[in-house]
Amino acid sequence: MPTFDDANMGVKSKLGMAKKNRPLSTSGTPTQIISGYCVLPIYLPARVSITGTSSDSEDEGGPKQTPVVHYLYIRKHETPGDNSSSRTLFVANLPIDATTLHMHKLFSTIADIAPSSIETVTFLPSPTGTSFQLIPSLSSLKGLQEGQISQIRRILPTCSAAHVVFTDIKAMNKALGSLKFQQATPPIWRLSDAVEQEAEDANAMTGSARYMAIHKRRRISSAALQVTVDSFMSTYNKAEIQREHEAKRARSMPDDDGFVTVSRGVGRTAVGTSSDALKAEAKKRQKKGELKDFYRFQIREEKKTRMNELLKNFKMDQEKIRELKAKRKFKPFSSKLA
Amino acid sequence: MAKRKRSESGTMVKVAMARELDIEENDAEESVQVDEYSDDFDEDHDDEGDKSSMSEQEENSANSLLAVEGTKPGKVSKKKLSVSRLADDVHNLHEAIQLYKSNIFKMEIDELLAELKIDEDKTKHVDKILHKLKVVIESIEDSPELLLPDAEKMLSKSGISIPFPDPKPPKDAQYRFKYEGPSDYNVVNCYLLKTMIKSPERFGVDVVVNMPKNIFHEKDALNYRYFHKRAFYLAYIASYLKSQKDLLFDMSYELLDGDHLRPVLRLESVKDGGEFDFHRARCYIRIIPGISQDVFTLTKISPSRNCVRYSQNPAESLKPTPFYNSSILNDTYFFPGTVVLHKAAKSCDGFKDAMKLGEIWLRQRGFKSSVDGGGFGSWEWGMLMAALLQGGGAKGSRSLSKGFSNYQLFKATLNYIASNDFTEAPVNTSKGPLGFDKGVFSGLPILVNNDINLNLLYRMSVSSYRRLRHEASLTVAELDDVKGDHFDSVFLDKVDSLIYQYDIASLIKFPSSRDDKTYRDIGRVFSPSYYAYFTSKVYQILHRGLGERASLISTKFSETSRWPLTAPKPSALGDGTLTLGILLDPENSERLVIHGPSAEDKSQAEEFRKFWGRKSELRRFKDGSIIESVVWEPHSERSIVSQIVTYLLERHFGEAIAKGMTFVADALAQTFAEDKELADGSAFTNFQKNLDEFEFLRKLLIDIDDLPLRVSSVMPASPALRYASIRSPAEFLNEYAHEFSDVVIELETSSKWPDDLVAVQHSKAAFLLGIAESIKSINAAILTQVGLERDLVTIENFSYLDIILPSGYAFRTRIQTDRESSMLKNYRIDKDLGLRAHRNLERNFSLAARHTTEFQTMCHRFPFLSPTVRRVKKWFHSHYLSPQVDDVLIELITLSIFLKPFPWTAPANATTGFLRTLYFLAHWDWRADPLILDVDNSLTIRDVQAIRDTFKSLRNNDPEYNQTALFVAVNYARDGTTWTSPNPSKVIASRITMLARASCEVLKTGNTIVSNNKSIIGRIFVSPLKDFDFVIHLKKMDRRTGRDVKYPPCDYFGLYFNELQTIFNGNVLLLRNALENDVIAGVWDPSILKARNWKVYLGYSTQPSTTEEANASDNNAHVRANIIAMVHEMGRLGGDLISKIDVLK
Repeated sequence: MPTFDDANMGVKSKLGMAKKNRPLSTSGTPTQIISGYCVLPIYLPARVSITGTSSDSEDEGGPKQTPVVHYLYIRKHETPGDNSSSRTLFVANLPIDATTLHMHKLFSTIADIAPSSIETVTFLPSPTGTSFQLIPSLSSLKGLQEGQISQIRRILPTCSAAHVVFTDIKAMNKALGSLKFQQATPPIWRLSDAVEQEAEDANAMTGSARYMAIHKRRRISSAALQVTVDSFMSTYNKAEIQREHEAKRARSMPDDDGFVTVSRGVGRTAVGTSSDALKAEAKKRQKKGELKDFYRFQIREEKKTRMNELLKNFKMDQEKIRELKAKRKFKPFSSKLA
Repeated sequence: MAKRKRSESGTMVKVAMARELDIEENDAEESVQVDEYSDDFDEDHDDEGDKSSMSEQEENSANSLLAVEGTKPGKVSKKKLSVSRLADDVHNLHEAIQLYKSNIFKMEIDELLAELKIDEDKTKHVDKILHKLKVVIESIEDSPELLLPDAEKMLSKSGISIPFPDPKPPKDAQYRFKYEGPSDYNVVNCYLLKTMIKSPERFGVDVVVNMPKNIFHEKDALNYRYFHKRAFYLAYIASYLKSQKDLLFDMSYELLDGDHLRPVLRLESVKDGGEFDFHRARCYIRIIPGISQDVFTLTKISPSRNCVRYSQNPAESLKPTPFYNSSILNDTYFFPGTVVLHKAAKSCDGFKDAMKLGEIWLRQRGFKSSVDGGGFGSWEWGMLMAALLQGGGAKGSRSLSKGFSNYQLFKATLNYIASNDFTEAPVNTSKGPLGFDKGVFSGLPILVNNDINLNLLYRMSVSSYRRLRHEASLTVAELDDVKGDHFDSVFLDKVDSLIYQYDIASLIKFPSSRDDKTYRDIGRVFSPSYYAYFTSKVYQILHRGLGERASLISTKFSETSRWPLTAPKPSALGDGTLTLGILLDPENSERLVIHGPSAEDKSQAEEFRKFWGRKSELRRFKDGSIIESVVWEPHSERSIVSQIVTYLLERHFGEAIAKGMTFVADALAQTFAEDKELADGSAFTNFQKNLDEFEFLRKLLIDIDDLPLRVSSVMPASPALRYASIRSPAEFLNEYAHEFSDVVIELETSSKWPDDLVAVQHSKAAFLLGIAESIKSINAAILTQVGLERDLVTIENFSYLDIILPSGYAFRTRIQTDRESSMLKNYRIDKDLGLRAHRNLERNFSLAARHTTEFQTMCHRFPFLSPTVRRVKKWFHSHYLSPQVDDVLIELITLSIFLKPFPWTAPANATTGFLRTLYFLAHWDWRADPLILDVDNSLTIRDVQAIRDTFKSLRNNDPEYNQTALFVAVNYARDGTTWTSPNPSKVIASRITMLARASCEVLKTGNTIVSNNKSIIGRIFVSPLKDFDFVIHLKKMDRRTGRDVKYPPCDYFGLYFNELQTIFNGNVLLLRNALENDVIAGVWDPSILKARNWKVYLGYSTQPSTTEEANASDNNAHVRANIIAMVHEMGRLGGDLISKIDVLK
C-alpha cells in the first residue's frame, strides 16, 4: 500500500514528511489527479483479519496495523455537447459492496452534504467485464415477494462505477470542492457511524446470512415460479401477437415511396427449407455421378494426387520426427521410472 | 550450349504450367525440385519433335510422377542429385509402408537405432588392447600338475583366490590342476558382431580362451571336477595378468550369465591415461574359459544324463542334471554360437538392427541373458532369430525371411514367441531330432539350433518364460493396432517397474542358504544359485495357490555377481530380495472360496490339506457336494490375493519369511482404506441401488400422461449414476448429506415450442411444475421441489425439479428440448453468448447423459475403474483443483489407463490404477499429444486421423494454448474440447503435470512406496499453500438447515466461491477443495500486477502507483492493482465464513 506521501509526490511537500507513513494532517494539500480524476483514498473497515507479508514495496517500515486503503477516482460527469449544467459526479473504482447509502455517508463525511442533496446514485455496468450483471437481480422473475430480493445486497463486479446525481449544482460543486484537497484522515467506507449498527448491518449482508438467503431464494416455491412463468408467458404472447399484427400490416401497407415490403408469410408452415433443397440437390447430383477413372488423365491425376498426398504426409512425419528428436525423445534409457 | 539455353527458356513456360498441375506441392523446396526435374526431362526429349503443349504438360507431369516413383532410369547430372533425393524419399516412403508398421514408425526406429549406435572411434582402441592381451596370455608359461593344496598355495602367493563354485573340491581331491596355453583365443559375441547398444551400463567385450584338451580327463565332466579345473585355469590367468606391469587392469571375478558354476575374469580399464586406458570406450573385457567340443563325449553330457552323483545310495536312480550339463555344453559353444549369429547377420540385412531392437525391448522389460535376468537376453534373442531364419515353422519351414526389414524381423520374432509354447513344442532347428526328452527341463522352454543338444534357453525359469510370452503378446497386440503409434511403449518406456507394472507387488527377503538343508543336499545340483532355487519354489507354491486369480506371477531377483580376486566365491551375491509381481484376473481375484477335491478322493484330499494346512476345511455346498475347501474373509485393507500370498509363504517358508515381506504401496492402500468415503465397502451396492431407484423414477416419469407433451426419455447424467462420485449415493437426508443425482428429461418432439429462447426456458419451468403436480397426484410419498440454477434469467436453462423418492434417493431433473440446441447455435443477438450457451447445453445435457451411459458400461467392463476413478478424483480435489477440472475429464483420463494400458495391462487394483493415472498425468505431453479414447473400438483410422487433424488445427490456431490446453476426445465427443475448454487453462494444466510429477517423485525417492512410510505418502495429497498469492481460510460451517426438503444443506462455500469468481472475473485464479472446504486459494493474473495507464474500466481495483514505478515504465503508468484492497473486499463479502486471510505474496 503506497503511503499518502506517494500520492503527494507531484507536489512539493513543505514539511519534509515524505518518509513518514502517517496520513498528512494538513488539509491544505492538493489531491493527486490522474487523467482528470481526483484520487480519493478511503479506509476500509477493519473487519477482516488479514495476516502475512504485505509486499515490501508497500510498507517501508510503517506500522503493521495500518488500515487498508481503497482508492476512488472522481470527476465531474460531462456529457459530450452538454457540459453546462451537469449536476452529476462520476465515481470510478467502487468497492464491490458499494450501495447508495455508502455514497450518502461518504459525501456527508467529506463534504458535509446531506443525503437529501443527492438525488440518485446509478451504478453502471462495466463495458469491459463480459459477464456484468447487477448481481443478483431477479428483475425478470416477477412475482417474488419483494422482501426476498431486498434481503440480499447487490454486489458489484470489481472496478465498477457510478453516477452520483445531486439535487443542484451547488451541492455538486461543494462535493467536488472538497475533493480538491486531501482529507485529514481518509473517510471510512461504511454505512453509519455507529460501530455496532454497522457490524450488525454488515453481518446481515455478507457471509453465511447472505448465502443462506441466496440458497433459500433459489429453492423457490412452486407458486412463485408459477406466477413468474405465467406473467412472462402472457407478456410474451401479447408481444408475439403484436409482432404478428405489425408484420401483417407492413405487408399490406405501402411505405412512403409507395413500395410494399415483401416479408415471409406468418402462419404458413414451410414444407421444406432452402438447406433441405440444397441437400437434396447435392444428393441427386451425387447419384448421377461422374465416371471415375475413365480417361487416362483422370487416372493420372488421381495417382498424382495420391502421391502428393503421401509425400506431404511424409514431409509432415519427417517434421514430427525432427521435433521429437529435438525433445531428446529417442533416449530409451533416460528412464522416467525408478 | 545454345540448345541448352533454348530448352531452358522453353521450360520456363512449362514450369509455370507444371506448377499449376502440381496441386498439393506447397513446399517451395519441393516444387523447385520438380521444376529442376522438368529441365532434365526437356533435355531428354528435345529431339522428339513438336508436341502440343497439352500433351507436353501431360508428359511432364507423368514424368515427374515417374521420378517420384523412383523408377525412371536417367543419366546422372548435377541436377539429378536433388531429384534423386526426392526419389529416395519416395522410395523410403514406399518401403516404409510395405516393410514397417507405418512411415513414422520406420523413421522412429531409424532415429532410435542411430541413437543407440556406439561411437566406433571410441572402441577402436579396444582392438589394440585385445591384441596385446592375446600376446600376453599366449606368453603365459604352463604350470606343473598340482594337487589342490599346492595349487591354492601357489596362487595365494600372488594374492589370488581360486573361484571354486559350490560345492568346493574336497581338500583331499586326488585329481590334479594344470595350466597349459590355450588352444584357441577368440573375441566372441556382441563385440565381434558389433551389435552392442549405447546404454548407461557398460557392455562386455567377451574373449574366449579355450582350455586345451589334455588338461582334462573324460571323467572330469562328473561331480564338478570340470568346473573346479576351470576355476583354477581362470585364477592362473588372473595371477599372471596381475604380474604384468605394463598392462594394468582393474580385475575382479564375476559370474558368467549369473551361472554360479562358471566364473569369468572381468577386466576394467584403469584411468591412468596410459597406452592401455580404454575407459572412454565404456566397456569392460571378460576373459571366459571355454573348451572345444572334443574334450568330452558330448552324448555323456547331454541334458538327459546325470553328471552329479548326489546320492551315495547306489539303489537310488539319479535324476538328469540338465542345468549342470548345459553349463558345460555352453562352454563349448561360444565360438560356434558367434559363427551362427555372424552367418545370419551376413545373409540377412536387417538382422543386426533387429537384434538391437530386441535387446532394447528386452531390457525395458528387465530381461537379460543371466539367470537372474530371466535367462533371455539379446544373445538368446539373436539365436532365436537365427534359428527362425532356418526353420521353426510348420514342417520345418522358415519362420523368418531373409528379406525382412529389421522391424519385420522384430515383430515376427515376437509374434513367434507369443504364439508358440516352447515348452510343449521345442524349437529345434538342428539336423536331427532332439537328443533328450523335453521332460528333463521340466516346464522350461527349449530352443536347440545345434548338434550338441545345448538348450539355449536353459537359464530361463518357468516364471520368466511365462513373463516373456506375456510381454511378447502385449507388444504384438500394440504393433497390430494400426490406429495408434505405440512406439514409446514398445521401445522407450521402462516397462519393468515395481510401482506401476503389477496389481500386487511385494518384496520378500531371501533366507540364508545355510539353513536350507534340502538345497545343500540336492537342490543345488539342479539349480546352483540359491536365489533361483528359492524363487522357483515360491513361484510353484503361489502358482498353485493362486490358480486363476492371477494371470501372471513374476518372481525376480538380482545378483550383482562380482567379487574381488582375493576372496573365494561367496555363496550368494546381491541384495537378497525376491521381487514378486502379480497381475490379477479381475473376474476371479476376489473370490472367497477355493474349491478343493472331494472328500472321497483320499489321496487328493490329503494333498490339498497338506498344501493349505489349517485353512483347509471340509465343507458341504449347496449342491450337496462335500469337498475340501478354503474360505477367505473380505478385508478392507488386504485383498484376498495378498492374504493368500502371506498365508502360503508362512505355511511353506516359515513365519519369518512372511513377516519380512512387504507389499509395495501398502501404505498408500491403507491411506485410501482409512478414508471414510473411499473405503465404503458398500459403495458398489449403493451405486447399484441408486441406478435401480433411477429406473423407478424413469418409469414414473414416462408414465405421466396428463401433460401436453409426454416424457419421451429419461437419462442419467451424474457421476453418482455412473459409479464415479467420491461419495457413494445414499438416502438423502441421512447422516451424510448427499447431493442429488442429475437426470435429463426429454419430451416428445413438438412444433409448438416458442421461437424465443427465454420463452423456451419459461415453458420448461412450466413443464417441471406440471410434472411435479402429476407426481404429487400419483404418489404423495414422493417429494418434489422446484429450484433455480442462478439468479438471472438468460437464454440458458434456469430451472430444475428435485425429486426425492420414498426410498430416500434423490434426483435433480432438468428438461432438454430438441429445438434448443439449434436455436442456441443460431442465436443472432449475441453470437458468442449463443455458442457458449450451446456448449454448456451439450456438455450438461446430451453429452452428460451419453457419457454417463458409456461410463456405466466401462465400469462393468473394468471392475476396478470405479474405485480407481474415485481415488483419482480425491487427488484432484486435495490439490484444490475442484473448480477447474470437470468430473468427466478426470473420468476420461482415468479411463484411458484402462483402455490404453500399454505397455502394461489394465489395472486390476485400484491403488495400481491410481498410481498409473498419476504416472500418465506426469508424463503426458499434452502440448503435443491429444488423448483419444475409443470406448467400443468403433473409431476407424480415418476417424482417428480426423481427430488428430482437429487437434492440429486447434494448436495451429492457438499455439499458446490460450483457449485449449488439454485435448481429450472420445467417440461421443470428438471435438476434444468439450470438457477441457475453457477449463482447465494452461496454467492449471501445467500445474496438474507438476503436481503429478511431484507425487510420483515422492513415491520414488527413498523408495517411499516400498518402505511404506505413511506420513510421506500422505504428502501426495497435500498442495503446499505457499504456492499461492493469498489464502482465505474458511470456518467450519454446519451445512445443515434442518430436515426439510425445501432446504437441503446450503453450500455456503460453493455460492461464495462462485460469487467471487463472477466479481473478480479474469483477474484471479481461484482454487478450492470442494470436499474439504478448508481454504480458497488465489493466484493473481500476473499481468495486473504491473503499473498501468489509468482508465475507467480497467477491470480491477487500482491504486496510484509509486513514482518510481511510474518512472520505471513510462510516465503514463499511473496505477497498479490494489491487491490488498481486493483481498479485503473478498474478506468483507465472506464475512463470518472466513476465519482469516493470509496474503503470502
